[in-house]
Amino acid sequence: MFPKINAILQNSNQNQSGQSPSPANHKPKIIFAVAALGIAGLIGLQLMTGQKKGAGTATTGETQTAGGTVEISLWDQEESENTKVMDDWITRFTTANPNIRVVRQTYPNEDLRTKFTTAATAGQAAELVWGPNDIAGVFTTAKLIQSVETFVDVSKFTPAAAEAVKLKGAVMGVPTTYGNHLLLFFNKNLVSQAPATTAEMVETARKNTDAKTGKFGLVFFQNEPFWLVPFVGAFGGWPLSVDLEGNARVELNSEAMKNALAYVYNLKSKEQVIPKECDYDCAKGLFLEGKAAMTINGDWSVKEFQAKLGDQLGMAPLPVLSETNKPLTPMVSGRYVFINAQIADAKKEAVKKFVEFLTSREIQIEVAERLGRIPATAEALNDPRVTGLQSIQPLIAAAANGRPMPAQTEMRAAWDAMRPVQQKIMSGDITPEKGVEIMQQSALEKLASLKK
Amino acid sequence: MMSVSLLPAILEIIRLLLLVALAVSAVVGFLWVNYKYWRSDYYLPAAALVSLVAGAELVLVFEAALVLSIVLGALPFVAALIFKYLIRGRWMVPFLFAAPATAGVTLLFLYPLAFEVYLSFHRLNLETLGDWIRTGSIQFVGFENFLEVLKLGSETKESFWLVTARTFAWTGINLVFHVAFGLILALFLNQKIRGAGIYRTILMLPWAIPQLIAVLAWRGEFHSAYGYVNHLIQLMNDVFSFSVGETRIAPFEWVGFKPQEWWTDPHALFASICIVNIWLGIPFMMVVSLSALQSISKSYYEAASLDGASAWQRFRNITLPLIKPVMVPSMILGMIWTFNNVNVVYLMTAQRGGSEGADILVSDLYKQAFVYNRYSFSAAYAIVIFLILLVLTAVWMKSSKMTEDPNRR
Amino acid sequence: MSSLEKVSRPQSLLTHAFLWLACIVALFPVSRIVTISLRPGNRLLSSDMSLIPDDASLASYVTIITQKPFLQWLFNSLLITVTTSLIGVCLAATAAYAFARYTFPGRKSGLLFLMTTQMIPGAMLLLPIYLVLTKIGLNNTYTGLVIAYSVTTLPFSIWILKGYFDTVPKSLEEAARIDGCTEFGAFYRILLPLSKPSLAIVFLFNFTQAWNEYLVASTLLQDSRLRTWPLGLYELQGNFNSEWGLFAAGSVLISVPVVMLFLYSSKYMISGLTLGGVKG
Repeated sequence: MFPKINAILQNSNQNQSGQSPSPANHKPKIIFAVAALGIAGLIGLQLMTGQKKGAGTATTGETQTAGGTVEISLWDQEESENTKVMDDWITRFTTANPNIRVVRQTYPNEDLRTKFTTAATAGQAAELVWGPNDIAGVFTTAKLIQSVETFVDVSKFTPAAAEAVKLKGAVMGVPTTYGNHLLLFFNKNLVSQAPATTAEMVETARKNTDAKTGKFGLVFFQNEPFWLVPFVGAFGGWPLSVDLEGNARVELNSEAMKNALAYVYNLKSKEQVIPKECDYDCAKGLFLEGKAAMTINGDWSVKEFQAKLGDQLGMAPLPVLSETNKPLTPMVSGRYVFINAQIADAKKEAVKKFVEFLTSREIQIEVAERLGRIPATAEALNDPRVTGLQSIQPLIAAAANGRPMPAQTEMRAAWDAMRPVQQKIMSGDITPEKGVEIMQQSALEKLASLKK
Repeated sequence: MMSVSLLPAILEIIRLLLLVALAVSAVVGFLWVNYKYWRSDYYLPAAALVSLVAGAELVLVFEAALVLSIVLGALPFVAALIFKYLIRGRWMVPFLFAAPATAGVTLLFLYPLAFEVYLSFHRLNLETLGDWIRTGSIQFVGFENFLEVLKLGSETKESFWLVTARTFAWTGINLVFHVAFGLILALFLNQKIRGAGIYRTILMLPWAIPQLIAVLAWRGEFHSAYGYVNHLIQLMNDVFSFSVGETRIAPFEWVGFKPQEWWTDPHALFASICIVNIWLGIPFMMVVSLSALQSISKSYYEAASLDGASAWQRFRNITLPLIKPVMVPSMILGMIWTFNNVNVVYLMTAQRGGSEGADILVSDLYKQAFVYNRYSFSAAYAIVIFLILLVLTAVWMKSSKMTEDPNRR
Repeated sequence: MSSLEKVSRPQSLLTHAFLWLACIVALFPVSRIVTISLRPGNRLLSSDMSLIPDDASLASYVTIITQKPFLQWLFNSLLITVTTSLIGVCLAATAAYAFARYTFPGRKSGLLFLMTTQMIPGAMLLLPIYLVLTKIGLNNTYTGLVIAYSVTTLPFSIWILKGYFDTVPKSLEEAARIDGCTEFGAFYRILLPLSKPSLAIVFLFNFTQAWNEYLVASTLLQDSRLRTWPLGLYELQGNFNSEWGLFAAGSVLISVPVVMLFLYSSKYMISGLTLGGVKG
């Protein structure tokens, strides 16, 4: 194709080999010098990578960096308000323990879990993860985290808080806060007193609903299973059942599930006290704008609601279901610290100290005071500084009716199976009777596919 | 003011450049040394020595597995054999020039490909992940993962075939709209009109804006209550409706043109993703078409006008054939990019409130691997997708070449 | 209608109307970002549809610059992107030279392989690339990310450059070679200066790819000090209490210079993409 160039090339090649006036007795020397250079290079490379190995595996490795400082990293998915508090705690901890460094990183939403699993495949995952309890199931299945019982005395936690991360009898996370549960918020300008039963709630809602002016009595994230579960519980069911050995079974195809779905669908179609369509942002927006009298939302919104509504804001536990006379049962969990399964021995002591610090009396009281969440330890819960805290008592009352959110992977399959079906039922595409069958089958398929 | 740390970053970049220079010179140097000495009598013994030392080093110092060490250690010697008996000093310049890029591509394309093939025949998932990390070994399962990929769906599970069909629909819809709108806009812009430059600049905005920002902004606009899209639809329905007595008649609503639950209803979600991606992709096709149009000599049209050809005839018989050589490769490229476009679909579906039922193959693949941790399954899945695309492109390239103007050859 | 002839008046009006409509559609999300960025923080979720809110404020802009490591994100992105583009151009140019000017065994299959790499689903490469880079100690560094970026765009860059080099007459280099220039000299002194437009395109292509990339960055980077702007903005937007105002303000700040650069360089882009680039 390029005759000229090729000719030139061949010339140059010949030139090169011709140019080097290589008497036979010099050649071996040069070649072995080159070989030696190669070997030296290899050794150099080894030294370089050797050094990197030390730095790279600092998270799991055996290294103690300069001055005997131990570094532990903590990953979370918190919002900036909460991470500020955590950073303050970390500063206090490291001041008291100058030989320990705690490096904290935030990953938004799902990224935390994805990131941790991916990093773990290369041994690069953080020592500690601060996150919700459902992480426990996934990470335990993958054997990425370990039981915390050797790190902290689990008897000091309230039983419910520890229950939500118990898998096969072992507590897999250190409870730091308790809650993450739903409660009833109402606007005191529109509703004078919180309804005690669902019948009252519907009655109150009806009085405050006026579709023409866009006013609603009750708003909540009606297509999301997390908001459905309290009704399921009140009808006497639960998405999972766990036997004595800790094996979970998905139970979506139940009478209670059917009733709960029918009940929520009726709120929209028959009673018409909730909007036709309303997602999380819509519910929150309507309530904050004063266009909704009541809303069901989580303890994580308390601060924001209080800041924007002030004295108008009322809080109460979810009401009692009139049909069964049982209270609606929100799922309760909290924020936990999980410990990497592959943690280096040298770091165990530091981790122990850190989780001990996070669950100390003072910090747990601050959980209530500064994070606005329920403390996870019994001693903090009974401390006068907490019992006297007006903002936290409604949360505790609301959590009393709740049940721990199962941490098993089965729960994740259940969520994923419930969501699309619930959407279809709410839009009237299929009946609850048919829906629950699909839910169950779908959940089982999802579970099976996780194993393939 | 948050402080910005500049120095460590710049130092690292310097280190990086040194590292790259080192890697490049290592690769080039290796080749060069071989080219220089392949004739020498001591060449093979020296290479064998390097191989032995490297292998021993790997075993003793790096504590690598024995098989791996033998394979890696043998590389210099194998290379030497190739240089001595196959290459024989030829092709030095092109090899030296191509070497750095080849090394990079091998490291970041070939190795991952091989790794994925390995994974696809084994079982790596959530349950086996921890053991794999600790022991490095996973169970061999043959074609099980491939069969699982190709399995039919059920009422509760979307099958691979459904997702494939959706992906083809997605690629087709996008490509048709990209090309159609791109070409129409280009035809308009190619006329003598005032402000063509300004129009072109504005119309290129969707391409210029960082994709992440554009997609997330669009996603916000598709919010059922706070987004502009539903608001606009409502507005149009209000304008084009009238009341007869008590009954409100809105003709648009009869054909389903009404506010949608874009985030949760799978059909609406898929439609919204298509709209966003069409919006994003038009400028590229517009620009390609425009420059193709501008390269057509005016004399063709003048001649055609003299012959009394209508506008459509001119378009059909002059414009289309002449822009085809540029358009077809761009369309093939556009097809591949659309088919493999995980970003837009992922950003539109994977967040809170996101819904299933609108995924295309690649976004489904991403979710299977990283949300459900089905690594082996997704490796098999990826290979199947890759093969589909390969066949598709090959067929298209063949057929478009066949219809090409034979005079161009 | 497709030539540069004069158009009649009603047709011109129609054209303008159509182009106006297209421009509105193109500008629509952009204008919305600007609107949201001007909203005061306490009213982010709002059904207010006016272009500039009555109570417009620059609070979001101030907050994102002073309260968030926004400038650090920008700096990181800039550094990574520029380095990526430089390395990408260098590697692609030399390889493209070999493919365009020489015949050697594996040339055809090499080119085909480069084409095939475009068909590999990116998600498939994520985990192995992560494992490779971690193994050689480049996890969680700019270096790892830069290498991943510059190599993943290599195939496309090589194709574009090869296509362009094919159009440059060989005689020039041959003349230089006869004058005693080395192969590298002919490439560096003769071919490269002649190929500036296509080099600019490849640089820009690498630049936009790296500048906008999200998934690889989120997999490879852990340290929050290393985060690029897409990670940062996604974090703002992805939180349960979406910080929409901050997200919008950040978007505007990032888009303005990028859009300017893009529009300025679009001329090169257009000429290069069609000039042999996609001809293959």
